Amino acid sequence: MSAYKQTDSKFLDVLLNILLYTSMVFICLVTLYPFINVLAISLNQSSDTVRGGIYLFPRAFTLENYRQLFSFRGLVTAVQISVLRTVIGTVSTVLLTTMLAYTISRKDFIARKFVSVLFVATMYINGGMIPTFLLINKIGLTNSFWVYIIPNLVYVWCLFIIRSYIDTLPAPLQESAKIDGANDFIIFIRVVLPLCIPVLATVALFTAVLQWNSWFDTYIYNGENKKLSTLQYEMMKILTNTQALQQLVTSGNRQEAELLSKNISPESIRMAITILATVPILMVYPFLQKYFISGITLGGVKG
Amino acid sequence: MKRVGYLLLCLVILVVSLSACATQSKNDGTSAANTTAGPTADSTADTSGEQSTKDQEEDITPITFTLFRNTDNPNQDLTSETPVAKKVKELTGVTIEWQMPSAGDYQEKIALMCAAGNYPDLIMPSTAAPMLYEAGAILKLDDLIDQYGSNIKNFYGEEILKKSRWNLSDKSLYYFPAGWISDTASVSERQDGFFIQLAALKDQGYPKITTLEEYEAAIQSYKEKNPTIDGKPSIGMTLCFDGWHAIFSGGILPSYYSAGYGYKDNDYEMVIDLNTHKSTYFAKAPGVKEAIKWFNHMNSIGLIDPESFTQKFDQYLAKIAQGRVIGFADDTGWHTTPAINSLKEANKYDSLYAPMPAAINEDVKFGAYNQGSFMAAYGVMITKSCDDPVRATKFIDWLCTDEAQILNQWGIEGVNYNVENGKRVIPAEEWTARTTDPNYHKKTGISNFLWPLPSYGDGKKDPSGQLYIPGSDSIEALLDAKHQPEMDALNVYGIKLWSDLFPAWDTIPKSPWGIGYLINYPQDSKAASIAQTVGDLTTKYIAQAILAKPTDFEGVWAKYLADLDAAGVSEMEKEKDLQVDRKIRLFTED
Repeated sequence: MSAYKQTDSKFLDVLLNILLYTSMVFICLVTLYPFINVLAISLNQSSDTVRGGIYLFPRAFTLENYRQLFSFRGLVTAVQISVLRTVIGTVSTVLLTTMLAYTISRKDFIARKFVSVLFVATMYINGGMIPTFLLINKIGLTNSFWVYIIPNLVYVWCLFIIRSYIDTLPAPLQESAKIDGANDFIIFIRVVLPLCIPVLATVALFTAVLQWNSWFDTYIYNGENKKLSTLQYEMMKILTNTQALQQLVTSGNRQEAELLSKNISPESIRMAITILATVPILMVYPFLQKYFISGITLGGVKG
Repeated sequence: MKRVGYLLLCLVILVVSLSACATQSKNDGTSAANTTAGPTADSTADTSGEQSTKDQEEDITPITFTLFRNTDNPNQDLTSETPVAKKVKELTGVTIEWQMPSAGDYQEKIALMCAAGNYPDLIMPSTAAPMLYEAGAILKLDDLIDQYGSNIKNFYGEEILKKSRWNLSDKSLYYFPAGWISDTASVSERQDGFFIQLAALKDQGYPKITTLEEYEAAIQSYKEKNPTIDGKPSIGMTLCFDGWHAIFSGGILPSYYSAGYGYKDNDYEMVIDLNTHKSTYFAKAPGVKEAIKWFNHMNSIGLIDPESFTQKFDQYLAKIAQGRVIGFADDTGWHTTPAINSLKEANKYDSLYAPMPAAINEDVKFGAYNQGSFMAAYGVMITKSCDDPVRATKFIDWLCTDEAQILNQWGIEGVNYNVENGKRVIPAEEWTARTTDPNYHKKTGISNFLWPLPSYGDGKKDPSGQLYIPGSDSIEALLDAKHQPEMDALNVYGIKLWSDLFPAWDTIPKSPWGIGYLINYPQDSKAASIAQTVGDLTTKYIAQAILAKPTDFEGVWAKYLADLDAAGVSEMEKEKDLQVDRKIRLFTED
């Protein structure tokens, strides 16, 4: 915002604003359009969708697709499990990760450097799918609800974010609590945790989205257990039916391809389940927004 | 000091990653410590009376078997609470816990099973069967069938069991063949061919169409009279070259038929001579070039939709569903069903299509499929995780009895059907429910214990002369599904079903190798990788050949054949010859 040449800069300002606004609006539209399209198709009669040409609005409005969805075997259970794992998973992950972050942030922790390095190493090295599967199997987590929670308790990336954040908190805060006779736990719960809320909100959101969206663990560990299926997994099955079909056809398995093709869900139903799987988590965002924008240190340190 | 520390860490990381690379988690049962640590929720879990004492005949202590199948069946009830499932339990004590496949790849799932050494009791792995064989996970069935499977032997007959042996080096039985066992071809409507709109046929006065030229004439004259249909420009023919769909909608398979080659017998992509048993890649076989040339000609006179070469499958279906496509060549049984259903729901019955046997010329008979040859498509296998293979075999044996087949096809006497004068009869309301209610099978449990478990097929009759599958030899059900414009057409042609226009199934000789397209190239052979390249070349060149100017056609075709040779298509042919030979020997040798 230069105050040098008034008239020129004002013109430039306006021009820049116009450009910025138009490009932002354009990007918004381009981003929103697929979603609106999916919504429109999901509200359109499936036999009409086949005729193509549905863009922004449904041509033959109906709620039938959603109604059909809920008659799908196991979908209601899947939704329940998804919600359950998101809530429990998020709460436990946030709590435990923060605890761990607090521990690592404490300068008087002897193994601090060593543990941090180990954690970082895990970000780069992974056992791979089969060894991980064997591990989970041996521990006995397969075919159980806890396989959604326990392996996901600590995300190292979030861990370090929280740790960095705690590092920025003024040391005197903790010291003063200690002087008042608080032990580590109390310091954690009463002092550190409330101050971390902005970053916790971020981590919570991140974790919630991850928990809500994950289907691969359902696939590998709980694939056959209908009672532990998740919404994303059910959606995955419906949406990738066509790929399975392709596989069967290209491997020459015509007979089974024909059988499977009878069970491919029409486009509208696929769109309906897509909406069902994305809208709930979308709705979480506005609620957590306000935590991002809170003051940094409340009642800070004087002097 | 710090440096050393970091160096050590790097070393550790390196060693760890190298060790992971070294041991391929290939399936040597030792490394996948095959303890029953992680049990599949199987027979050990819920049964009382697991000590199934070997009583003489009926051992009906409750037992549960897990059965993994490679395709999903939404009509399958999973609770085992249906009347039929309960009856099965009452008669045999067996409860089946169904494991339907996951999203996408059952091959991956089975690979995981092999790695962990954890298998369900029974499994139907289809094309993933070799994986289980290599892992040593499946049991040989010969002795079990000899001792406990007298009904199984009756059910399949010696010939089928002989054909179902594993291969020449291991002539044992590993699976109970999954297929609809019948000795007559089932009555069904023809679902592939060159389709033309009923309205177009009517407009031309229901002409005879047995050659591509006649087909072309019908389309052309109808298009000239109707440049638009429903306000949108009409399209003579539309094709689709979108990925794997190209074989069906891109005129490739239709050309194969038009040149006179069958499909389920001679296998696409080869043409296998009945006498010499030698394979030729279909593009090199006589007649196919003529068919593609006809498509090229159609394109040059503007009867082929210009968007055919770039459109996605959805758009292809959309055009058909809009009712403005006069003709197309595809398979309506499963490939284009969404479009056909859409037309039916919009009550556009005269926009539906009739299949025509348009061959390349008068002397060639349109290709047809032969149902006579046995489709040996794997089947249910017993794995080594099964605690009671004898019981499992006895259960499968029971499934092969008449009692079981009737229970699973007709239902429970007095509930789903009645016996009047010694004949099974399904009351009208029950039949309506059966044919219209999509949840019928789930509610009653009927057909839940059929494929992939042993099942009789259409037209098969029991010793009393009645059908195993109700209504399977009558065409009433097929006719009921037709609407007036179609019935009118059939009447004028003087036939009952469209399949009457096509060569009859029993006029086609059975091949000694069974179904050609089920004979796969072994995974590690050169042919398997060549097959992929060749497939891509075909899609590309057929599209090019159709799109080219008529004067360039010969050049494009020549280039196509040259590229095929360069890619090694003769390798494929040789490999196929070898496999066909082995199959024939397996079927005939002892």
